[in-house]
Parts: sequence; structure tokens; C-alpha cells
Amino acid sequence: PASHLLPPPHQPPLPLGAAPAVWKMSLAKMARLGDATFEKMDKVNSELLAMTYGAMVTTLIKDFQDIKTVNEELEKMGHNIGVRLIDEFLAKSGITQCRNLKDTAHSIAKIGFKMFLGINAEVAWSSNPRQFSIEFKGNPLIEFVELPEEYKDLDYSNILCGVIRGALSMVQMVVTTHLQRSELKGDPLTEIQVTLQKVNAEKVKGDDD
Amino acid sequence: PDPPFGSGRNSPTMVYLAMVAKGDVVIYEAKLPGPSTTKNPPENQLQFIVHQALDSLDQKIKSNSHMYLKEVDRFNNMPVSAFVTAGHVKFLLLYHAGTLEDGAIKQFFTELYKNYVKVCMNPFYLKNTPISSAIFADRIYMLARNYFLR
Repeated sequence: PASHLLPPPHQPPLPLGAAPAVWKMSLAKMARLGDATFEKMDKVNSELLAMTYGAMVTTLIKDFQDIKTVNEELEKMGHNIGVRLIDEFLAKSGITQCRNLKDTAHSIAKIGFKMFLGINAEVAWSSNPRQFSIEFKGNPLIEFVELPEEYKDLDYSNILCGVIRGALSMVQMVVTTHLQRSELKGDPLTEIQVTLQKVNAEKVKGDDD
Repeated sequence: PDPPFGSGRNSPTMVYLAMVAKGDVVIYEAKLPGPSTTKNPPENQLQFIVHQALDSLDQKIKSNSHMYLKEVDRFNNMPVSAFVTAGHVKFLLLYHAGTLEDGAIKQFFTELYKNYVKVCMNPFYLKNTPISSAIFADRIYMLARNYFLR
């Protein structure tokens, strides 16, 4: 998967202390790239998406009964989507290779969420350098949804956590994700926490394999 | 100062709303703020009045293809106004004669319909079951305040 990425364009060497300015430019550029890619994408009616997803979640609840299992199933489905989505993400956005975790986080928030869901997401950092959060308001999946009391432990948008985990797994990053806050549960915004577990070395198949 | 939601129960003035689905199942009922100062009929009579109105309503539906059916029945001096949705869910409004304008009732019903559709779009809402959403209840209360209190 990563082998088809173009090498990063040649950058002049940076003087010490120039990193923050470069970083800011990079972020704005990513946001513009996200918007541009969003324009190129085929669109589908957001109400149709919301209702289809809602029907699927309620069917899962009916089938499995146990909310914890439903959360896991949603995450698994997301993972399956993510491992395929990454190719479309890389191809349509034309993004160059991420230099570090910060780049990865911002590309998910500014490009990924924008092009696939039309959501303007932000990145938040904690004291843990291997952990970041994707935060956003206005999730198209939860349009019209009100969580009943008996399903208060349901991570309705858990599929998004799986998508992030699956997509990153294909670019050699092993992460765990968790739906930390949710607008459906009364929080002011939705927060997906991403924790980097390890980075895999790229396996290059030899001629003998 | 705005009365807190729920004080409509104890206030002297009210308009009674009932939403009835298939099989005469009442999926929502509420006492909403109204402009009249006439005393309300007792609780146990309210349901009876509404069910009686349903019979008259069924008769009217056969001849009238409109959604808003205006007055379909009358109890003492209290008319019952009705609205039927495309899915045959019936909205009934019981109020004191002469206190509410036709236009206001029609607009209230139209907005109520929009809110009902939003409830239906909730994947967790089962058709023909009672509506328990607090958000819906608050919205209907506000609608009543906007359209019925001058």
C-alpha cells in the first residue's frame, strides 16, 4: 500500500525555530486540500445515509441484543471499510507522505473527514504524544437520532472509530480508537480518541517469497 | 417569566392535544397552554371526548380529501379540530369555542406534522408506539405558546 506514494517534494532545509511557521502553513494547506477533494467526490443524499445507517444499527441491536457486542460489531464493520477506504483517500486527495503523527492526525481531520463526510473536524492533543483526538460537531450519521435511555451505552458512531483504525493499519500504523464523547449522549461535540500503539516496519516481499 | 414546562397541567387555561395512530392507539397527548380562561373539563372526560370525536372524524375522512379537517365534533362548548396525516395518523385538538383562530390551528397542525415526521425518522422510534421524546414534548409546548397565546 505505501509503496505507491510519491516521495515528498524537495523542501529547502529549515532553519531552527522555523518549524511552527511551516506547520501552520501545512495545516491550512491540508484544509484547502480537504475542501478541494470534497468538491471532487460523488455525493449521496445525507438523509438517505443517516436512515440507512440507523436501520443497520437497530437491526444489529435486534440481532445481538447486547449493546457491548453491537459496539464491537460496528467497530469491526468500520475496520473493513477503512482498509479499503485508504486507497480512495490517498488516490483522490493526492496527499504526500505524512512526516509524523501530527501530519497523520491533521490529514484524517482536515482531509479524510471532510472528503467522506463533509465534516470540518479539529485535532486536539493530550499530554500523551502518541495520542490525539478528532473532534467535530454535526455528524451526518446522527441526523434525527435520539438515543433511548436503555441504549445509553451504545456507541452509535462507533463505525467511524473502526474506519480510522482500519485505514491506518494499511499504512503501517497500529492504533486503538475510542468514542470518547458523543453529541448523542449530551456532549457538546463528538470526540474520537486515537492512540498509536506501534508503527510497523514496511515489509518488502523478496523475489523468493 | 416563562412558566416551566409542565406547569400547563396546573394552569387554568389549556388546549388538549391528542395524536392517534392506527388502531386508535394514542401515541401522544398533552395539555398545552391556551388563551381561554374558562375552566377545563375534568381529566377523565378528556379521553372520552377525543374518542367520540374520532368516530365523527372517520366519517369526515371518507368525504374530504384535505389533511386539515377543521371542526369535526363539539362537546358542550368545546370544538374538536382535526388533522389527518398521509399515513393516517390523526391529530385532535380540543379547545374552548371562539378562543382560537382557524389559521392558527392550521399552522400549529402543520408544524406538529413536521415534528412528527422528525420523530418517525429516528431509527429507534417504533411506528404506532407512544412518543416519549422530551425534545418533542418541549417543541410542541413551544409551538402551542407561539400559535395559541396572543
